Amino acid sequence: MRSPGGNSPSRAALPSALPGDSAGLHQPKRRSWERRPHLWFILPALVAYGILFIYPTIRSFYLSLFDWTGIGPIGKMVWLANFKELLHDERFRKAAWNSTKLFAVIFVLQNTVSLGLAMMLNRRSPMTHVYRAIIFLPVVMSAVATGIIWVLMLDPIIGIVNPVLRDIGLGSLQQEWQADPKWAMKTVYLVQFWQWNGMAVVLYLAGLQNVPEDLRHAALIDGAKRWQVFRDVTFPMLAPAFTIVTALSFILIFRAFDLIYVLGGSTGAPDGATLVIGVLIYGEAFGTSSFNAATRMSYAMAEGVTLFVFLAGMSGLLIRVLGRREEALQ
Amino acid sequence: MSAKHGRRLLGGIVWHGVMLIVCAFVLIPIVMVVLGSFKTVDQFFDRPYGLPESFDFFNYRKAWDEANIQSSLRNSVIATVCGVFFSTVFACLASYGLARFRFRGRLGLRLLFVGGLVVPVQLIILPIFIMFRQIGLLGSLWSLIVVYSVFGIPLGVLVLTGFFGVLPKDLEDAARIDGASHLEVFWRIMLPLTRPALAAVVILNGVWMWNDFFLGFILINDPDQMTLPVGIMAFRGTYSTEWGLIFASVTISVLPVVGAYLLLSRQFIAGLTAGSVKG
Repeated sequence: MRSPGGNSPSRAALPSALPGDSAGLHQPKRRSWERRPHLWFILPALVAYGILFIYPTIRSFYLSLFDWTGIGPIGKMVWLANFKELLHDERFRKAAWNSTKLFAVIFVLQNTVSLGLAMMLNRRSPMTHVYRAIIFLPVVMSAVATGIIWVLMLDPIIGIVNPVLRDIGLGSLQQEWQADPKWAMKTVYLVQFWQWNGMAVVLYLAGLQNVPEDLRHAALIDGAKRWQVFRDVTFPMLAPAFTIVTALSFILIFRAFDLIYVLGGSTGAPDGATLVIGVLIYGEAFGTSSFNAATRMSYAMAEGVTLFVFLAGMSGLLIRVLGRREEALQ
Repeated sequence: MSAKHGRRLLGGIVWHGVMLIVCAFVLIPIVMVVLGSFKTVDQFFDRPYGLPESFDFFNYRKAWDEANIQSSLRNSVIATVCGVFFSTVFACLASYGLARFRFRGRLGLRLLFVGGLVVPVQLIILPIFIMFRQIGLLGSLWSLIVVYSVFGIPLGVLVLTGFFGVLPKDLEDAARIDGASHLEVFWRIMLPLTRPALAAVVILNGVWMWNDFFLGFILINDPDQMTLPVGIMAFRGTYSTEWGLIFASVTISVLPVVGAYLLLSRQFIAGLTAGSVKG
């Protein structure tokens, strides 16, 4: 698979696309090769993608119909029993609710704090690029690093937040941030926002820079108030950025695992307070700890399939509704 | 006149003030971890947010020698470089075929590739885990490289089809008349023109693969094969009280990507938001 030359990827990748590599996907008749040059280009990716993406996705739908732990021979087929169980599963509901809350909170923060910062950054100053680069910095950092950074910040003993509060005389505000079920999910909001705020700011800023300066000036000269200019000129022009920011955070948050696993482990500590859907599926498939190693592979797949259908449906709907909104506003 | 001037000055001060607060909110946690990486366990209790007694690299030496950071770093580099290379080659070729030729099922095929973005990794990794376990690929760095090479395709296709699609047809026609094959047109003419989009895809997938924890966590359990995020989480379990050691490894793991970001912040920001252009 690896090309010996390395500097000629196109040539190295092509031979594997020759007929004979039968992945069974959209396989054309051999004699039509010359007449269909596009297939030469598409086939390497399609074969790889077919084997390691499309086939596993289909297989997970199939395996979700079984009663199987994931170890040993595949159990017996139970059709939709896993999905029926899902509907009444307390943990699944709680995880779905936590994921929804996380999305809702981030959505609100993105459209207040991030949008506000983007509007502030939309001015010419030698420092604009520096501020923008700093605000974006957490986006390039790994979720593991981000999680560990905030575990340090919030740790009740060695942490930063509690000792600082204590030393400035606000000791009464100290909390067991991550161990207290009341605060644990709030810390997840904070850390998630800390990491992704820069993305929303930069996307909104790019949207704002598409709003022609003259248009706003003209409106101001015509006697419009500042908030009127925002409502009638700036806000409609931001519709595409709003679509992107919302759809992106929707997909990112409902598929999230890394950060929340670092903060709350596989059970969503404390007591399931930070359990989200992405972590729940992992725990169901591989066991939540060495003490509870009971795995339910098929059930995890049923949860994953449900999430997939939800994500695909909602992303399609979001992009459609918000796309119409863009047209209506412009 | 002077009142107006005063208001502008005040506005400027408020603006810088707000921006500095936001930057402090971003930077203080990062600085604390870097400071923490120079502290002994005792110093965490004595001076939680103070400077370490000395900037001695003992935690780094220990992480490097005892906590497998050396091999994790090497594995992360190998996995990221190979994953980015193969997924970009796949995505590049496919995007060219999808964007430059008219044929039936073109849009459907593009949707098939790009639709991969809404498949939860938690779902798709389960059948792959089972498949790899059967063929004995599980546990090695190769399993991760293979998965990265394929999982990078959807984003690559999303960004690159948009870019290839808008290149002028005349360029292609002229070269074809001169007798160039499709492959030559692609390699000599079109590919060099897509350099900005290629950079975006490389950055996007590179940052994602370097930072990925989940896939490596599922596929690899041999400490010698672990990538940095997986390795750090593994010995966070083992050395849970050796804070300085953990923070030193975290610092090592973010240094390459943050360093590259500081040098090329404009390209990084453009690249990481490129997947979000309307497609």
